Amino acid sequence: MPQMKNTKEAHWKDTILPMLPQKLERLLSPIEDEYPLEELRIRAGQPLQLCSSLGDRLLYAAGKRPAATIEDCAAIFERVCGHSIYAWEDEIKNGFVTLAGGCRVGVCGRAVRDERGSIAHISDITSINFRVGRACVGAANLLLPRVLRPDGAPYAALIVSAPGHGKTTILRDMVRQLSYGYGGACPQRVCVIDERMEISGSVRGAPQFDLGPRTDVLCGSGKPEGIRLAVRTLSPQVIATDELGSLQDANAVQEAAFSGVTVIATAHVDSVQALKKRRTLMKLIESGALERIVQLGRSSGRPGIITGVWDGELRPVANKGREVLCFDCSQSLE
Amino acid sequence: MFRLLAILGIVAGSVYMGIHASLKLKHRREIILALENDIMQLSIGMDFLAKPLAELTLRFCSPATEIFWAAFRDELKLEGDVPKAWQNAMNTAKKQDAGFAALKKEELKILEEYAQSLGASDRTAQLKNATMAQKRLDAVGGEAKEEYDRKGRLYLSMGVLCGIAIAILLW
Repeated sequence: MPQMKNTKEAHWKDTILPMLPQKLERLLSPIEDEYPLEELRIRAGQPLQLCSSLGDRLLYAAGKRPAATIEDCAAIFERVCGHSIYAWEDEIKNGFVTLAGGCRVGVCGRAVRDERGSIAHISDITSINFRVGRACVGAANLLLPRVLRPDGAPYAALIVSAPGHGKTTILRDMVRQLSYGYGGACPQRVCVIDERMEISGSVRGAPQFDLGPRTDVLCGSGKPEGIRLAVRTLSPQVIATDELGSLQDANAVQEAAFSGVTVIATAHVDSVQALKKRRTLMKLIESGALERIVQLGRSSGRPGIITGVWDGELRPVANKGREVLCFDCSQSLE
Repeated sequence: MFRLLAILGIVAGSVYMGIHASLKLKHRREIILALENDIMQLSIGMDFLAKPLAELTLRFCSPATEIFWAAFRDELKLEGDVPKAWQNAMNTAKKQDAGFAALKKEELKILEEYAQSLGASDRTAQLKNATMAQKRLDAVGGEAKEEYDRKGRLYLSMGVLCGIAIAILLW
């Protein structure tokens, strides 16, 4: 098996602790460095929740008191935004801010609507979710041969799983390997449409993860307009994007596919059976725009397990009834 | 000889006091104008560039207020909240720059109130906050200009004249 390594650009403590008030920092500092933190959830009036492949852990303040107050949440939010909430307005509308190192901070509070009824801003923050993002180099090593044509070009593929099973981690590494031309792939010009900046972990437009030398990253754009823009202006061979779902997304993928661009995408669907009930995605598959469906799962708390690969007509491809652990970077869990 | 030296000293001291009082008014007027301009530039930067505060203050500060904004940027890295960082930066600037030391309580209050919500809200609210601070600074800036025009030369002339008068009396 080709070598895999978990790139440790920054430890979660280095990224997250400076954002916290001292009392929360003191609470988290004693946690062992090796703890494979996936998410840190801070809620006003509640204990801290640490999520990892080892399970959940609740951290109370002394005397079983709640760890965080609403003021703490406001202070954390302000620090996360670099004391410049106005500068993250577009991201906050979508409920998250990305920190250097690719850590995504989801926020929840009071949604303020604009005159059209869509969310204009989120204020009075009551919940903050630090989601540790980490590149897992080699995560797509075992998947890549299953989605490559004999000539080294990739099939149009859809990676499906429930949240937290490693879709984005695998997609990120696939992009990197296709861009470099590793793992038997023919080097490809890749364009990443990164609506939520999770694939690239971009901070103010600068990708924090290595996505390869032939990769262009379009951050913050909606998928349909991003895909169309990329096809028109960047002449990519491959377009990679996260979390397909809407009809507009599907239409844009279909247009790209029939323009000769290979699309590799992910979707929140927990199984191929459930996929059959998602009309938008099924129509996309039936149109012939997708040639491989990869299902990921989780076993014994470990994400990144390939539980099956299907072709564009949903016929199993080389499944042989066994699960394959695709990567073992227990801290990379997007 | 001793009397001559004493007279010269008194004249110089009196002239210095006059110049100092006049310059204080001049610096105050200049700093208010510079801060008003900086706040306007910052709000433009917030609106069109959407860059973080530290970056905007580096880009838009005027030479007259450089000391303050540099201290503010440093404090932002250390302090948890903007008003505290602002207060500390203002204290540093007051120690290092005569213009900031000349600001009156009313002007400092306007600036403190501006800092209370600086960076802590969306673009629209930031622009409103900046507009309010600008208008209030404009008003006190007008008053500072008037005061300088009226009293600046007066203090200077009084310093010189008092010095001469004392010299004549002592001669």
